[in-house]
Amino acid sequence: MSELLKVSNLCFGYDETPFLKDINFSVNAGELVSIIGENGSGKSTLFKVINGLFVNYNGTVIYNGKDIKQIRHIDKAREIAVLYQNCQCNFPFTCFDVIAMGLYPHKGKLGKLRNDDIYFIESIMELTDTIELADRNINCISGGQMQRVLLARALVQKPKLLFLDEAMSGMDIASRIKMTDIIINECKKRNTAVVNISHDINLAFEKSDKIVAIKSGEVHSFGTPKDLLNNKFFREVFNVEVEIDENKKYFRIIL
Amino acid sequence: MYGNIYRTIKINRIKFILVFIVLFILLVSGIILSVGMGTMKIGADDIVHVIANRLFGANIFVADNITAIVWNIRLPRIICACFVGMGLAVSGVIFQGILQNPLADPYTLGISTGASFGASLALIMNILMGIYFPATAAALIGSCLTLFIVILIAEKGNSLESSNLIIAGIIISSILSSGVSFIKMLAGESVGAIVFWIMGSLSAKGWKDVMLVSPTVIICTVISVVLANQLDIMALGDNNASALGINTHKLRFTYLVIGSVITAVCVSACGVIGFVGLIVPHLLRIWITAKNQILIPLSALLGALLLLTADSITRIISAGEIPVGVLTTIIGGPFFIFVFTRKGGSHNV
Repeated sequence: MSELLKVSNLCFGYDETPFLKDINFSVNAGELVSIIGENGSGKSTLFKVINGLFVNYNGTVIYNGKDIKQIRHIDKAREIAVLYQNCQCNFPFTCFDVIAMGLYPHKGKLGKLRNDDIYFIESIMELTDTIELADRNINCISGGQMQRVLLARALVQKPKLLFLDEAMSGMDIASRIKMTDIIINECKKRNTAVVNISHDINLAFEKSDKIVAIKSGEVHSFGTPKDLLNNKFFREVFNVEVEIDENKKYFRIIL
Repeated sequence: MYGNIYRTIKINRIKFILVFIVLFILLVSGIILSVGMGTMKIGADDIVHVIANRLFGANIFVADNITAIVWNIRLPRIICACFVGMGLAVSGVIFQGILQNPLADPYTLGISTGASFGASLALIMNILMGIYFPATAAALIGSCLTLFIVILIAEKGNSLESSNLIIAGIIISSILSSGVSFIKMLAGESVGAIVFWIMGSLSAKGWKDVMLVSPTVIICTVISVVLANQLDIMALGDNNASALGINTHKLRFTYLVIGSVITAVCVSACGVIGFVGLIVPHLLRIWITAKNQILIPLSALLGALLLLTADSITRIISAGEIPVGVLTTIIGGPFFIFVFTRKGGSHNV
């Protein structure tokens, strides 16, 4: 599998003191990598640095062989999509309008939707179960529906790498499972890598190919769920004790 | 189900084109109707003949006084009203878009207050010291300087984020308002000239005003339509816009300059005409679409139509002429409240 994203020796601080220290991990094409850690451990900062929202870091972030700092906004958007936890929109765009915005990086300034573009968007809307929302005002739908619309927009972007920034927190359990299935199925089909920043450790251990655990701004461990599923890991990263079944498939947090 | 969206999109496109055509026809007939109205009624045929004579060199007989009224008095004022309405509505769409705030209007960043301050300064110099400096030019300089200072303050506050811009705009606007009040106080009995300028009026506008306003409005509108897809994406917030490949800082700066240039020119020519820039984009978003590529041209037409109508009413109902800015707000306000409450509030606006 080819290496799509490689973070090497990344250090970053909001002020003089370094907050992220010597971060190293990589993501291969088609892989699902979860970044987990406590609140304030540096997950979201890491996410922002990788996405170019902060540029004054040391170390390198290489995407597809190129330094991510050197890639133009628009070129990056053709390959990398980001799904945030929510989206505040003050204008009455229809859900279709919002989903169609995903094509902007490919169509450019004056890009008019051609017939095949509309069919493509419609196919993604069917996958994400958003067809019936097409004409609805984006401000008048539920949180779960909003996330499905934003996922559809991200998939319309035809990304090779999809970032999820706590994209499913705030969703009910059924919607979360449904959305996870859509993401995993579609991304495997398209060989899209997914980097999932999440507090949902159950989901991370169950579905991820690899896990990056962040503790106090450093990578505590980086490996497959099977490698990391042990008591020592949970004690050190989350300060909790767990009970793990014999097949090393399930765990239960002991309160 | 599959294919339904395709059909909806096609139907919507036809709807947008039809609305555009209807507004265009209304505007052209409105112009002809309006030129005919006034103390001296003039027939549509005479109006068409005068325009044909002047523009296309036709040689149709029209009485000299009618030619003078149509060509030198009414037509420039009416065309000016149309372009100012167009400009204010378009810059309303722009400011609401870049500030991600449906309450914004062309005057949110204090550009109008800057223009008022500049014009008041020119008028008071004339009143107190007898130094003549054209109010229009002073207003233009005042608004450009204001924009420059607002951008500078917002940039110092870290970035051109909408909240930074709005705060900077409010601060500068308040300072300049006090300046205007102070100038009004200094003017003593001659305060009327300043008050009347600030209230906004289209009376006595000539072809030179049309020449100032029309190219600016047309060029800026075309540029903003070209960039409209990006303005749509900005509505999702800076993070989402960046993730979709938009350079938010650059785009906001570009639109800020375009919107401000339109506003500055319109305010300099005709004073502060309120409400057109707020109400027109709102109404069209409720009725038609929020997509800026469609919203901007439609706003241009509806803005022109609205100001033309308001100006025609002021010409007809009052011999002393109520300032058009007062009328747009008196009529526009209640109408807006009516539409706003019927459609379920700000979520739909």
